[in-house]
This record gives sequence, structure tokens and C-alpha cells, in this order.
Amino acid sequence: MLDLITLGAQTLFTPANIGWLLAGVFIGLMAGATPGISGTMMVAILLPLTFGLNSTTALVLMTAIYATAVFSGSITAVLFRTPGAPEAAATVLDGYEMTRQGKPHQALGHAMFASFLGGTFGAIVFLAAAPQLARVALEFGSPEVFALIFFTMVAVATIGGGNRLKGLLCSFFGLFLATVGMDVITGTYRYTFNVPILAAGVSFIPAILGLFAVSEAIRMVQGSVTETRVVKKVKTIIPRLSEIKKLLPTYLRSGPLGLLIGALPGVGATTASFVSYATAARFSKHPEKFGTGIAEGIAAPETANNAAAMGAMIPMLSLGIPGSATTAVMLAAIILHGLRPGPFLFIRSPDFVGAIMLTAIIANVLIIAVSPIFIRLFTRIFQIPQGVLGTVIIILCVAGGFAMRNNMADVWMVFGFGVMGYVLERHKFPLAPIVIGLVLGQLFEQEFRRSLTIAHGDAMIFLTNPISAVIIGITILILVIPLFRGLWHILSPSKAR
Amino acid sequence: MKVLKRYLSNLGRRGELLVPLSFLIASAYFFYLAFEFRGAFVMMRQGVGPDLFPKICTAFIMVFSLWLIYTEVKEGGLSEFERPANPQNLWITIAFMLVYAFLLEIVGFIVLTPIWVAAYMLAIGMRRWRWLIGATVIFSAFMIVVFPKLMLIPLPRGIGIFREISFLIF
Repeated sequence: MLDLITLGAQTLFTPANIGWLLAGVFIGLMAGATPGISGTMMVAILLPLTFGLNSTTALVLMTAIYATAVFSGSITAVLFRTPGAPEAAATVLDGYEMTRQGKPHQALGHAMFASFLGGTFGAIVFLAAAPQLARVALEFGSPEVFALIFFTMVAVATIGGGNRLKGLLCSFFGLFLATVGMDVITGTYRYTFNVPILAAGVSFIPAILGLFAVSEAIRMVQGSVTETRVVKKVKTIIPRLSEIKKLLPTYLRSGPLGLLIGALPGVGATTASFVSYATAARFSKHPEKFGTGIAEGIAAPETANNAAAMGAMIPMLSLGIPGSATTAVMLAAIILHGLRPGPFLFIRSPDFVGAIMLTAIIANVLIIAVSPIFIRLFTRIFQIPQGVLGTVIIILCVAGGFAMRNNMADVWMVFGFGVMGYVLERHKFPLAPIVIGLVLGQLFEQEFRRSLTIAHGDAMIFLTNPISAVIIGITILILVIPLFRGLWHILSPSKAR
Repeated sequence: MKVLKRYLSNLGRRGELLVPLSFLIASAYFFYLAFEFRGAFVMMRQGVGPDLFPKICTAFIMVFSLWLIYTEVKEGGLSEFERPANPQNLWITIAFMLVYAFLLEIVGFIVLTPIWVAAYMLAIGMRRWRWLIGATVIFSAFMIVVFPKLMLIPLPRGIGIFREISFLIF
């Protein structure tokens, strides 16, 4: 490890590399905070431009963008309920509620600090134990991933003080939406109605933008359009020591959880943030407060998604298997620059690997150094009247939705989901389970079917496998305990009287 | 007309039943459609077919919708909603969104967006002129600089003369 650090530092600390690293941090912060421009898209756009750079500089730039874009997606998620990147979708739930209470600085402060902690933790583990962790991640098969998503779906649908029935209905609706399009296993078209764009499925970007952002814009313009939002002034953006102490268990739980999920090939930081949010709610002494604007609800997904982003780099470098979409693009960049990812990369090019790992750490540390300026700048937006803000959000969502696939159908989807989100929320149907179902649905179905195929149709595979059996057991308890509580409430003599 | 007006004004309250009812009808239809997926029966012999998962999802949606309808009917009464300051802006926004989506491919992003932004803000009751003009100009310019210029994302250019105008800028 020391060799990696020494060689990496020698390679990284040149004026050119440091300049590109800083540029990457700036680009990552801007890209992540713009809906429709994700870190993946930014890295992909820059891929051809990096051909003129040497391999280390190219990957330094990409790593810096990747590390910071995951955090900055939370800026617009917290301020406008418009996640700048899919990884920030879970942050919307409590982050935006905190903004509604006039505390956007605090919400962003928690997001920033949690991102810094999660990302730095992930990057340090990445530096210390990349090959070992990659092997652990490979132990996670289809039944385990299925069980993990099942737990997340149920946990998110049943947390908070809302109607659990509505939460479960919305979960299944989200999962159903994910089945639209060409079935990846058999090639069968499902619910496409001969519309070509539907063959690729319901993209979750327009759905997230519509459900969360457009519905909120509609609500904004229904209020007084000339009013501005009241924002409480704060001296510092970084959370106080007492708050950090209170959140310590959440950080300690979400970091490793995010890192492990991120290291699972094909799962990614978005899943990590939702699983972490659900886990935090389950471990919390006051789960009913989740979704009402509490710091735990921001710290859990933000710690996890940044740790997961770093975790996704572990199998990419040590096994040559990308852990997420962005790392897939980065893997392509490594190969295009003539390097071969895998265990031998650590032996043949330790300077390159060390430089990437150090970049990951520095970029995450820079989040806390640079972001307060961005946050103060962004929160000034609340001086804009609600009518203007609502209009801006609608157009931003149109461009963001269109940008993903350059297709007008996505613009229609943004609007359709916007109206649907408005109606559902008005009738107290939670939107988060729909989004989670849509985001995780395809993976959930694939792992479910793959597991059953491996077991020749025997559903016991989920219970004979120890990891998945434990996770499914916990999930069933989550569903069953309230029923017993209700029964106890009815049968208890003191209550009956 | 009066009946329609009264129905529309109570639409929000009726949603307590209308929403789960819509879910029920739609999921029943999609459940039925899942039986027609090509390859479903062939796959069933080898493993799990493409129809199983959609059937599970729609079946659960139907069960939960029915349960919700039962609960709502049993509890009786329609819940009241807080009346917003400008309820008409919901319908104005929906109408403007439809017009925008319809015209975007014809007129293109560059020409349509500033006109739409100004017209929409006027329609929803924005009368602070400095904000109205400022937001229209600055925001439209920002979108054009960031998306097509910096990110090279080809936003719709429109057709005919509008396409020519768009090409002048990006």
C-alpha cells in the first residue's frame, strides 16, 4: 500500500495533473448540479477529449468528475426537488423537506459532509484493500442481490407515518413500470404498443424529473407566484459537532454498506443510496420521522452513494469489471489508453493505480473545501419568486429529460409523470417507492428470474442461501411486526377498555 | 355545464376513490395483456417467462387497490384538501405543457422557449415585469449556452425557417 501511495503521489503531483484534477472537481460540481447532465454523461462526453492526454491525466480528470458529481447531484435535489443525478434521488426525500422548512443551508451542509465522509472512506478502503474487497463482492450472487432489493422496496414503502398500503401499491407500480420495454432475457416486447421508444423501457430520468420536480413546480405556481421562499440564515454550512456525533452511527453504517453495494458489479450508487436510506430508517429510533426533513435521511443516502461511487472503482481496476455506468466508461478509457485493468494492473502500473486512488481521496476532500461557495451561491436562488422558479424548473426538466436519449417521447413522459406525481401526492400516495421500483425494477426482475433459472424453478433458493435468507427474514419481519402490533392493540385488555 | 363544474370542483376529493380505482382498472388491463407476451409459454418450460414478473406486479396492484377502495368506502367521507391560492394554475400549467411538448419539434427549443417562458409566466399571474423579462432572457440564454453549446446536447431545432434560425445559434 505504501508503495502505491509513494508512486501515486510522484505521478499525481505535477502541475498539469493537479490542474486537471481541479478542473475535474469544478466540472463535476457543475455537471452534477444540472439536471439531465449526470457524471456518467460528462465522463462520456470528455472521453474523446482525453485522447490527447496521457493515461494518468485522463483518468485523474475522470475520477475527479465522478467523485464530485455524485455529491453535487444533491444540490438541486435538496433545493428544487430535482435530483441533478440519479444517485441523489433518495436525498430528495428528506433534503427537500428540510428546504421547505426554510433550512436549505443545513440540508446541503449535511449532504456535503456526509458525501465527504462516505467518499473519503470509500477512497481510503479502495486504496487499502481493493483486490480483497473485489473478491468479497463477487460472492454476492443473484439471490443475495434480489433479497437486498426486496428489503429496500419493502422498507421504503413502509417507513414514515403514511399509509403503508399506499406505499406498497406504489412500490409495485414502480416495479411494473420497470417491466415496460424489451425483456432483456427473452427479447419479448412488453407493453410497448408498437411505440419504438418504449422498447427501451420507461427511462427513470424523465420519471424522476416528472414525479419529483414538475409536480413540485405545479404546486409552486398554485401558490402565490410573486412570493419568495423564507430561508433561515446560518453562520456555517458544515454540521455542528453535536449533530455529527448524533449522526455517527448513520455514517458508520452507511459508509461500509455503500462501499459493498458499489463494489457489486452492475448495482451502483443509486441502489446503494436507497438501501442505505431504508436501513437507516429501520435502525432509527424514530422511523416515522423519515421523509419529514431529518438529517439522518440526508446523511444515510449521501454517505452511501459517495462510498458506492468509490466502491464501483474497486472491481473496475482490480478485476476489469465495472461496478457502475460511469466506471464502465472509465474502463473503456483505460483500455483505449493501452492499459489492461485487472490484478496485473497493480503490479505493472502501480504509479497509475496509486495516482487514481489518491485523486479519489483528494477530490472527496475538495468537496468540503469548495462546496460551501457553491452552496451559498445556489441558495441565493430562493430570492427568485415562486412563479419564476416553477417555470425554470419545468424548462430545466424538459431539457434534462430530452438530453438523456434525445427523444421527444421523454419530454411527454416528464410532463405525464409530473401530473401523475401531483395527483398522487395530493392524495397522499408516496412517490419515493415508485421511483425506487422503477430504478431497481429491472435488476430486481433479472436477479429474481436468474435465481429461479439456476434453481430450476425452485423458489427455496432464496431461503437456502444464508445471506439472502437473513435479508428476506428481516424483510418479512418488517411486514409482519405491524400486523402483530395491531393484533396486540385489539387484544390487549387495557386498550380494549 | 353546472354539473360538470361541480364535478370538477370536487375532483380532488373524489380522488380518494378515483386513484385506487384507476390503478385497479389499469392493472387489470395490463394483467390481461401479460398473457399475450410472445415466448411466455415456451420459457415457462425452461425457467421463468417474461410474463411472470408483470403478472405478479399487476396482481399485487389489484389487491392493494381493492384493499384501499374497501378501506375508503368503509371509513366513509371524503377528505378535505387545503385550497391553494391559484388553483386555476394547475389547468393552465397542464395546457401550457401540452402546447410546449406539441410545438417543441416544430418550432424548436431556441425560438419556442423564450416565448413559452414569457407567456406562461404571464398566464400564471406573474406581473413583476423586471423578473418576467429578466428570467425570460437570462434563463433562455443559460439553457442555450449550457446544453447545446457546452455539453453539445442537440436540443430540438424545429422545422423549416425555425430550423434555419436554430442553426444560426447552434
